[in-house]
Amino acid sequence: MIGMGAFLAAVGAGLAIGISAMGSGIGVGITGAAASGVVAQKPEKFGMSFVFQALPQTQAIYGLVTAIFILMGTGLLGGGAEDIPVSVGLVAVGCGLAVGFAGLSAIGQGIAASGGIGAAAEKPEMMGKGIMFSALPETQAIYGLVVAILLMGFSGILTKDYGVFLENDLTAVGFVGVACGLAIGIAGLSAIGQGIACAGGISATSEKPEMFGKGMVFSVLPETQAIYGLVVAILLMAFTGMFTKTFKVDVNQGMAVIGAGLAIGIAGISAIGQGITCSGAIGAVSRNPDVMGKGLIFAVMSEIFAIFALVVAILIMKGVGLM
Amino acid sequence: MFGLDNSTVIVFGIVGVAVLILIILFMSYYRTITAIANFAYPNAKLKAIGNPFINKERLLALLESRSVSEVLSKIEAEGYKIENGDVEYSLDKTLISHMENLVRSVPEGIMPLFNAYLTKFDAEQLKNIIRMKNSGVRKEYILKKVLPVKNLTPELISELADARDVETMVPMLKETDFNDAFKTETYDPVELERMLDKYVYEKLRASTLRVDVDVAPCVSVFVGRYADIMNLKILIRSKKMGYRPDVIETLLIGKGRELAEWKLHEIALTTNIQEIISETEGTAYAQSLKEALPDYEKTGSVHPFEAALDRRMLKMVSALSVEHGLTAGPPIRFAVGKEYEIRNINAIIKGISEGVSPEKIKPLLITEEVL
Repeated sequence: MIGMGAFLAAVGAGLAIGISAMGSGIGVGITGAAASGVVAQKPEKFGMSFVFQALPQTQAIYGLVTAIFILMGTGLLGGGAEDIPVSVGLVAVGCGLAVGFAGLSAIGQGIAASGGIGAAAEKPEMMGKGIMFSALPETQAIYGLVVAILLMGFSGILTKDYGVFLENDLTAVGFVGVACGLAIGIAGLSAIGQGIACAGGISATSEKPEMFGKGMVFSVLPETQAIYGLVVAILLMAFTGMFTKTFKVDVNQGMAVIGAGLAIGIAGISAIGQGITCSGAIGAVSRNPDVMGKGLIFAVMSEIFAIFALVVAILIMKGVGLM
Repeated sequence: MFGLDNSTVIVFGIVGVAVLILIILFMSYYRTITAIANFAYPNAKLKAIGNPFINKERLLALLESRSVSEVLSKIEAEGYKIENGDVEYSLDKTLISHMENLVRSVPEGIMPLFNAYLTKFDAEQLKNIIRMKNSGVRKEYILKKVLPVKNLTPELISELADARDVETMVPMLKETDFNDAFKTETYDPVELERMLDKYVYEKLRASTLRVDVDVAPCVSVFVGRYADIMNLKILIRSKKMGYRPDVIETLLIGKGRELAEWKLHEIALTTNIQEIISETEGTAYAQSLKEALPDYEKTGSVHPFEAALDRRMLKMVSALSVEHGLTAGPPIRFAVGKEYEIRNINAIIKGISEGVSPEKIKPLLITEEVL
């Protein structure tokens, strides 16, 4: 009979593949619609369209890989799940949240890739630039995967060595894992904003090739929210002693830092607004290059709210005595 | 609870609430994302078809052709088909087929605009019938030259072609959807054409209220610019022809984006074309008109102004296509670009068949960049 730890690990695996598969499904669906439109007119563009459509599929692959690691590492595949401590189960939930929610970045990538398909169908020379823009929202999913791998490494899921978790009550570390997952996972939704900005960049570059650099600058802006999420997740791991496996966090601190994860994670959604602004600014700069500075100012306004959340997340870490 | 200690239950409660908040936040962007997803197919399809012959390089390559057959082989590679050697008819047929395809492809939210835009082609064909009828052209020729579009069904075309003259034709139209166009009793062909232009614009303006809220700003800008450009062309042309201000005002199609009714009234009161340009100072059109002035002074023709305004329109829809690149921009650019493309091809074919040099054809072509 499995225990609560194994139950939580199963939930973590489910979150990892479930949410990321939803993201990839929506992203691939948007790209697929564009691909169908192109292939209906130019069947010879099938290969090109397929390359773009493959891009938002990776998030589900990351989710699958994470889910398999969790299932194997906790013995849900291969046996031995009875002994999994609750703390490790909670870390697995954190991994699931990190990879799952970050997998919703595929929606943004789908939006960018659909723009890329249209641009490359009209102007074949746009294929490379279209892929470069479309690859940007992948980074959020990679951050989620990196954090999940780190969490799995520190909790012993990767090596199936969680002796320290069996010997001590490290539920607090499990809570920190959940906080890390929320921080990087939800902040990964910034990719939707980035996808909208990237699609604007593709459109502008297609019309005016010299807009590539400026389009990239605006498209990178909504990435920062995800970077803040990554920074908070890494700080949480560092301050709670995960890197050295000398855990120094109690249950109350562990619960409290979930506030930090929520702060930076949910504030990361501000990037969707920023992406919409960036897309508009790209259009404005394309028409009048002199407004680049002003466009950047408008785009950076949304950044302020994410910075507020970063400050609050750091204050929470300091307030609970982790710093 | 469920074998978990209190702290774990609290954490799960918090995470549950957070996920709920997340879902609510995400739903607020649902509309935007849905709109983008709905336009993914048509926008990609339209970009795949493209507007090759408003592109500078493609037009220059077409201009290098040494014969009409060489031009035809080049445009056929882009999907244009010339039937029975009738270039103008075939190109118009292609244009209308693209517009009908556009109406079928776009999402419901923007369909009212393109349905209204299709009326423009409807009206153009009807104007052709009116002109031919007025010139006493035979029924067979009318049937050969007029294309059915939207309300202008093959049956209606046949009935109109059967009409004895314009006077007998107008009552026939009053029993169709064109009834709204002919508000006053007249059989003057010029007046009928003017009423059709106003009718098209009214349809376009009405569509701005019927499109989805996500695309409404883009559609409003486009319809407003369309009216401005049309009004400026009417003002310049009628001023050149020496019409009285009160007559000019009756020709205008209605207020646009930058040229409100009071401004149009002021422009109508000007005494010459140079004054019209001064009156447009501060608008997006002034620079284009100023640049066309030397050519006008050299040739005495208003064509340089009309071409400059068409180029301005093309630039404006291209800007819309970038600013609203994920939704309504690309279909609007495609529609406007296709019309200019057809005009460019027609001009090149006509020019080459009459032995006109490429340098003389170039000013007639509408592109964003200078040729």
